[in-house]
Amino acid sequence: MLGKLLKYDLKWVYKLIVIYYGLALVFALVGRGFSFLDDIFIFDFISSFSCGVSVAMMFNILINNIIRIWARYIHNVYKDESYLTHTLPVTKSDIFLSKVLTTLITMFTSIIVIVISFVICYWSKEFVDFIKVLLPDVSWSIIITTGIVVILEFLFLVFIGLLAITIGYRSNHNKLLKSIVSGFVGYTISSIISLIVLFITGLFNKNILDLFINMNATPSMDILKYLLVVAAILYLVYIILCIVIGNKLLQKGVNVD
Amino acid sequence: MKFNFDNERPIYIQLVEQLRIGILTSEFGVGEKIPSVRELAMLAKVNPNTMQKALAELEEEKLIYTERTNGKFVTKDVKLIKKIRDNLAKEKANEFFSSMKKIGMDENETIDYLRELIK
Amino acid sequence: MELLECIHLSKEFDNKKILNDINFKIPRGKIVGLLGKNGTGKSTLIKLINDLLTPTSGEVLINGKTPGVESKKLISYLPERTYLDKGMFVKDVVEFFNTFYDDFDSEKAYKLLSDLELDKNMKLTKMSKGMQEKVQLILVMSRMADLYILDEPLGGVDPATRDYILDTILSNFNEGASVIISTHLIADIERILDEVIFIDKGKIVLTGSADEIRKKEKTSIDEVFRRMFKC
Repeated sequence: MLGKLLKYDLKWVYKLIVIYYGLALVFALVGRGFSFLDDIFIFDFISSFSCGVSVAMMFNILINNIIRIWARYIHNVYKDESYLTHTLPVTKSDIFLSKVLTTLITMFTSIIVIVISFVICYWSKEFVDFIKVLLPDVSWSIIITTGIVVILEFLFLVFIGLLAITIGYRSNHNKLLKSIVSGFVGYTISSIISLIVLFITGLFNKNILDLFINMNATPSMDILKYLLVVAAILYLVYIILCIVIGNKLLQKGVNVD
Repeated sequence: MKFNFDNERPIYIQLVEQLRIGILTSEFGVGEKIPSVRELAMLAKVNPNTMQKALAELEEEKLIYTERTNGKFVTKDVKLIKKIRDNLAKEKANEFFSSMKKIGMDENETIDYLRELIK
Repeated sequence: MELLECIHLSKEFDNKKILNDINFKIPRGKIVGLLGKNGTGKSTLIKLINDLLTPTSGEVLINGKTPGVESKKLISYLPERTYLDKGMFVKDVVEFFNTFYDDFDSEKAYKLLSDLELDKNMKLTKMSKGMQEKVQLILVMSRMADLYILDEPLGGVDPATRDYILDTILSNFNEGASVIISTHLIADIERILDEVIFIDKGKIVLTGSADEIRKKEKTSIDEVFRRMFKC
């Protein structure tokens, strides 16, 4: 049954964002294509303009992906459609898990499309050299770890949203407002916990403690890497917590208008 | 066969009355098979349970009988049908006479009037 | 085992009792009218049976079990609102039901759709609310369920459609199944009811066999209802 639910959830979320996938890729290709042509103004302009549009589409993909997952959750599990969703012979766990998998799958494909579009637009020897000049000490492993942390951060954002909606829609009134408030509260709490964890790790590592105490301290690459790994672990823990708590809450039953 | 109901009286009683008339008027002929409970319920647009109850009542009167595997049939007992018709006729006639009485005609006057009417 | 049983069922919202100590049983093979004015707790009761709300106290048992996957396999529920994904085509929603319900008969659904001249290639957004409601009724009645729960199935339909709906209900519920019809339009449906449950201000005020009540009160269920809830 999970597979069947997933099919319909994915369909709904992809329905809109595949258009942006297409646009991002097409404009990226056009941009790159014109950059190979003769070095005249109009071609340069079209090239950079197309790449600009492609970048705009990348943001669109990310934002729409996140919002559509939340919207799907609200519509499918709490609004009119919930009358059908909750009377299907499926467990509430499957309903929730389907939304979780939808998030992971759609975010994964969105990131792939964004990376591909970006590479098509901008990847060149000059670009790599430019990065090397800009960030001379940065190693590939740091760039990749940063990427992973950013992705985890976005996933956390989606999942804390789902949890917040689950909390907000349990009440009898002002469900959306309470969801938003829960979301902000949850996010703030997670930030505070992150700081506390960082501070505690600082008790064992003088260099990290320095970041708290000394305003002018700049972290070394090793410290940066260390911080990134801590951040990644923290986000992973938060994500798992959001999923587990959200699932537990939904199990307790819904309160449909 | 057409069914008509008012909602004021139990539906199964009205069904019994109308089915009985269906048999007396040979709508369901002597010894003929009658439709299934479900079909009849659909025809009358009533609940199958109610139709079942009405048929059970007719079965009690022996106007219909069940053949174990074939369904329900109208009785072959012509005498019984006649008897029930007589009963019903008596009932209707009495009703008629009493309503004529209400407008001031006694039984003899009523009979004379009827003779006159069908000439 | 009873098909449906409510035991001391109560539901509160913000400390206000919407349903107060509801007790009843529905055996198999009955058509039951759940009758009451608007806003007396009929829909809340139905939502509790369908796992859209959780009881404050007491319990709902369907075939002896609390609402869950097993009960949802048995119950075919028509809510009072439109609950389909409006971005879908009619044939998509038929496929959707076919995917999720083992007891769904898509051939029957397509037959009923063409009976009512509803185009399976039409998008739901292009349909009027009345048409969408018909599609929903068809989907619900195309399941071979044990218990059909129809919440206000006759609201806002023309008399011809009303007759068709009653016919559909009568001809499509299988033996051993039961139907609960919630409505405030009693005159239209009372002929097909076995039993009635009158509900008012969150309480059951009268239950019994429809014909028994007619016999006792010497009038229609509709009239009994009107007298009881005279404003």
